[in-house]
Amino acid sequence: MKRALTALMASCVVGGWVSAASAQAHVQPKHEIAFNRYYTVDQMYAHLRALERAYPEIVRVRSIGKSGEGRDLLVATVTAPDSDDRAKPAMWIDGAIHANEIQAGEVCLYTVWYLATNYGHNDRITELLDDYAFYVMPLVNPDSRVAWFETPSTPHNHRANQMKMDNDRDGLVDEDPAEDLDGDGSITQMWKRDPRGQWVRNRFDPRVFERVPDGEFGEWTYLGSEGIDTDGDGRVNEDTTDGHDMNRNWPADWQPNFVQYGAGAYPLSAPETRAIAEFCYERPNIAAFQSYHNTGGMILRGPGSSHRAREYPRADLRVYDELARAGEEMLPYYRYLIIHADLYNVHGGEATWASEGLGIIAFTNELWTAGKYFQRDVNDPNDEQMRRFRDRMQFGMTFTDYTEVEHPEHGTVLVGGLNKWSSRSTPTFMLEEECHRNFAFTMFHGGEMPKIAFDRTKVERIGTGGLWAVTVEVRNEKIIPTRTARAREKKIGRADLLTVEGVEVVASGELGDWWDKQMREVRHEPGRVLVEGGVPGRGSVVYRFIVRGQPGETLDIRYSSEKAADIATTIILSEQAD
Amino acid sequence: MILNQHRVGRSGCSPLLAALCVVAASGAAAAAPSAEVVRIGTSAEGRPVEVIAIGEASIGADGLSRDERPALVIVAGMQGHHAVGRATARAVGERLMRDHPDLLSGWTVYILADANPDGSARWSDQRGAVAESGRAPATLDEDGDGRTNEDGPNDLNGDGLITMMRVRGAIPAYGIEPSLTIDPDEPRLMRKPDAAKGEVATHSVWVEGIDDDGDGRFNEDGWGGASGGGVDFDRHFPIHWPEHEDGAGLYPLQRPAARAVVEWAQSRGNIVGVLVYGPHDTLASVPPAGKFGPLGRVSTGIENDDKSGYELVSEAFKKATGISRSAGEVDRGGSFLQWSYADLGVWTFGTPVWVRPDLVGSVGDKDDASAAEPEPSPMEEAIARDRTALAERGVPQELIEFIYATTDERAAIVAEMDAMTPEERNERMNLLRNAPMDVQQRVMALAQGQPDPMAPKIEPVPEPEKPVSKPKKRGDSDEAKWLAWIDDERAGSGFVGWTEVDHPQLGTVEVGGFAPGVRVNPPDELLESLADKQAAFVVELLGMLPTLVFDEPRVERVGDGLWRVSLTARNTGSLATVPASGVKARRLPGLIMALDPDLAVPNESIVSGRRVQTLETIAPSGEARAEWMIAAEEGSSVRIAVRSARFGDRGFDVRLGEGGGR
Ligand SMILES: [Zn+2]
Repeated sequence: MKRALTALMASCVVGGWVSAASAQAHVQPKHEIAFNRYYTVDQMYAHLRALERAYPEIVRVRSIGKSGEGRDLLVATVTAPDSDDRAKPAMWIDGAIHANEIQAGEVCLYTVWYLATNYGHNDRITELLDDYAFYVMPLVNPDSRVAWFETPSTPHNHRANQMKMDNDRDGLVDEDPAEDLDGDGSITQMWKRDPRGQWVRNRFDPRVFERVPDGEFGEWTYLGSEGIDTDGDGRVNEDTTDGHDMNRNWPADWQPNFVQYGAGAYPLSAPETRAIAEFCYERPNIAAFQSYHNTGGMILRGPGSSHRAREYPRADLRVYDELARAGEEMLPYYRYLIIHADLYNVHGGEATWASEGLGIIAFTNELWTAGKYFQRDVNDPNDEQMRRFRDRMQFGMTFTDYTEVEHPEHGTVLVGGLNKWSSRSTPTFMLEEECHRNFAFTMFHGGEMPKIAFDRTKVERIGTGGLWAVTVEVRNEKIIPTRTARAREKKIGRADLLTVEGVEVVASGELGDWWDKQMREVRHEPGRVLVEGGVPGRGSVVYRFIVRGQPGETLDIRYSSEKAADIATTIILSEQAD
Repeated sequence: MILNQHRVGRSGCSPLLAALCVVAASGAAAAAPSAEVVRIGTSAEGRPVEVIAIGEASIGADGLSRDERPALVIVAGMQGHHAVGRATARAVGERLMRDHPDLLSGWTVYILADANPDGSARWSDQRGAVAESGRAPATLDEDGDGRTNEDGPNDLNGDGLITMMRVRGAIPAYGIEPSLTIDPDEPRLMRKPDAAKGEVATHSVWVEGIDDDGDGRFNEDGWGGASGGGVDFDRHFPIHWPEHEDGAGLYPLQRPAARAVVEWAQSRGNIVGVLVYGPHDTLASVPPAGKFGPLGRVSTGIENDDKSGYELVSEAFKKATGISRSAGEVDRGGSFLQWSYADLGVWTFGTPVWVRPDLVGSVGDKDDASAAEPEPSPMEEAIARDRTALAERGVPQELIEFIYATTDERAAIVAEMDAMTPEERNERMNLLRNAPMDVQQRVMALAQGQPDPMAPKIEPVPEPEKPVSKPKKRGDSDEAKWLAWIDDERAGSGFVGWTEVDHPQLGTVEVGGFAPGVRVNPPDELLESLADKQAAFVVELLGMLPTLVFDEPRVERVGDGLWRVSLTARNTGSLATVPASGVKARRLPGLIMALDPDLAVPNESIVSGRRVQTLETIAPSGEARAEWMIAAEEGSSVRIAVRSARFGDRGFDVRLGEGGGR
């Protein structure tokens, strides 16, 4: 009931749209975006700006800094009209810190688009934006996205940023970049005809190279990836424009480059990571965190490194588990995994920083997985199956046919193979579903940010000396507590505050539950209680205040938490029926 | 009174710096070494962070400019109250220019005298009472109560100093329990009671102040308070950064001054040595070798392979300065020194410059070894004995760890137990049920927040207190030795005698103790001689740091049109060109010798040898050689390019022919 009312009021505010109940299919977006294709940085930013123009009360786009190459770092703030995003719990959502993991950007763009389009039309979305704010940064690494779209790339590069770096430690910087010899925009493979070679081409499908048995000779030798040894050091493309891996550049468990390759000069040395970190540190209302990557179909949580395995308190793990199990259901072929235990050790990762440094619940989704190609029984398609998929479903788009190219060192070589669109990016015809399912999971997570309210209250007269016992209960209806156990343990941020004003507070204390008689007494400042543990997820805290006052006097009680919207209530001192 | 004496360098620009600046202004054109002040950044409060670059400014005989020549950096002032370091760094620079211009044609010396200008300004310009802290002030909510800097220390006795207050007996309203007793031999000092002698605790000691915000705690949120307040630059750098601990900052290098230092140092590849004037010592005693952080990769002391180098330098230091025993503070992680050694990867040394006078003596003093490896306290010994005994009785390690966990750690374990599923909890409980009865009792007591009923005899110190004395025999504790020096040399000035003060919350307390900074900074009259000694050591150090020289390239005829070409580099220093930490860190390229960088010689003409050859480090007095076999016409020439961020780039043109070479 209350929900419908809120939605109705909200829809009035935004200007008399059709009433709440209408289905999504009937909503006419004010800005159309196709989600069966990928967008360059300019196109992506143009869509964000267009969404802001179409929904100015809901979407605000700002630049939070400049990338290493001077591009804007755009963040969209999405929340209900006429509301202060910083006064409610908020979720940070970003993508493509590894720029080659391109669909992460589209999932973020979809998030902004869907929320903006459906606010005031769909009850759940309306409530989400009424209660919470979302900070969405589709492209954490715009420089390398530009490099990925505009310069020769593979499915796996450009992952890092474009910081100048002497990758091969020869005293020269970026002196041997990749060369796209056949001009297809991708770095593929090079083959050379060789009577002593170990490979032959398949008679029926010349795209396929097959190894000959030991002791026999084939016709081809594999020369490695497409390129030229520009600096004559005997290695090809070994010092490209790629720099630091920004997902290794965060302060929690940051390790120097010799322990964690790509770590960067120091934690937050990249302008992109620093801008995000400063944005988040300035907004303690950020209570949930999601970062999108590819690939493998995973919902990942920290710790990133086994030496921190014990640093995730059990109470927090319950929250992670409950959210991620729902995610597994919403995201077919995705698995919920722990980074250090199920993948490998990562030091200085972004989402683990959110978990360990900010003390909030954070996930990394690895978008797209091979299981989704066939969606039935084939979780790990073999080469032959993959060829069939590419030929029949993608019409060969992710493969560059072999062509002869003159190579300065090797003479005539054959260049071609799987191009940058293969293997890691979601096939475009399946992109919208990928966007939606991940968006839905992230909204499930965000929708479980704390939401508190005063529940039961009780006023009892004690004797005749003007003393009263006022008992209040603060309840959190959501899964995520107002303060994680991690935040409490490491003293991150401030404790929740429960304050009483208007009357003299003589004593106060916490009760174990509503019926508890024993106050765990607050010895100092009884009218300003620090609730160190916050309000647990789907639970409550109960406090009793012993106050002095005349019947009819009122006291103002306020509960304030960094991770929940403040609540206040007024209680009158009077004998009341319980 | 005593104030100014141990707060040297209160004004921003010391006379010594002024002298340097004059030289810099007048000497720029001359070939003689000159000094230049370079602004490398700005602190959070807007102060400049400056490096004085000393050396021959123009391209010298070595073909290198000042910023290309191998360099030593002298860093001071990471701790704002370490005024002696700041003054000495500048004074050493001045002495080098005045007395050792010859050295400065081969070396550049960078002096970063005031690395934490906000911290030093806070120390120097303390309005009101002076507290002992080297931290950069910051707006913090240390106790997480939604108020910032609301409960710093207070000058209760009005002497202009924040010292300590000692409180007699228990005060339940504030949770105060006595933990110390007045040393009967020296009533100005406190120590832990000796239970074996039937002594009982009578007092507790706190930083001087009141509970400003009425939350029941004293001085818990403010600069100079119980936990220090502000940002501690020796806990603020990225290596072993103590995340979430007090003084560490929200993230490493959050303070712009610290970040500026790192960015500058990383941009100056020519740095081969760093000398830090600050609380940490690596010179009077060599740091532990082969100890690493939790990942087993990043050194917490020094690498095994660098030990002999550190020992060599240590001997020279002791000779030059007379400081024979360590008085440095324990490095708790995140210091500039650790970062400089392990991540920047250069030889890094540290000294407090001035130490307790009884630690200065001839090299090979009798207590040398024991001072280097401090004896474990009786408490530590008792705990170690108990742990061994428990382990020998087959008590699971998990339980032993629980017994000796800190209160916080134990609370975390208990909280974790609470959150377990019944099965998990049962599993844990079985561990306990199978343990001996006395161990069960201990664990249960501790789990309920009670004291360990079978704790080793000496009681652990309650956390919030600053222990003033350790139970040593008379005159033997550090404090007693300081007191003796203050009494003998300074007529007692520097220790505030305990006097009763009426505390608004605690009733009558006594205020007193060591004056802030008195154990950090020497009297002004000692500064000159300290600078002389440190300058003498720097001269020694420059003689030991690695230096690279090259032989003339050699050309040998292998056959007609076939040549063997080689170039040899020699390290004439007493330390490796790159310490083991630097080889590991791989931050900079090693020494690169590249044949024909312009690719005029086609690859197929290089018959043997990689075109680009890299050598990571060259041992002391060692050499390294790069060799190629080239097919080329007699009389043609090739170029060998040497690339070295540390020792400068060079080029050699080699004529292929008999007696070829440059
Ligand atoms: Zn990724």
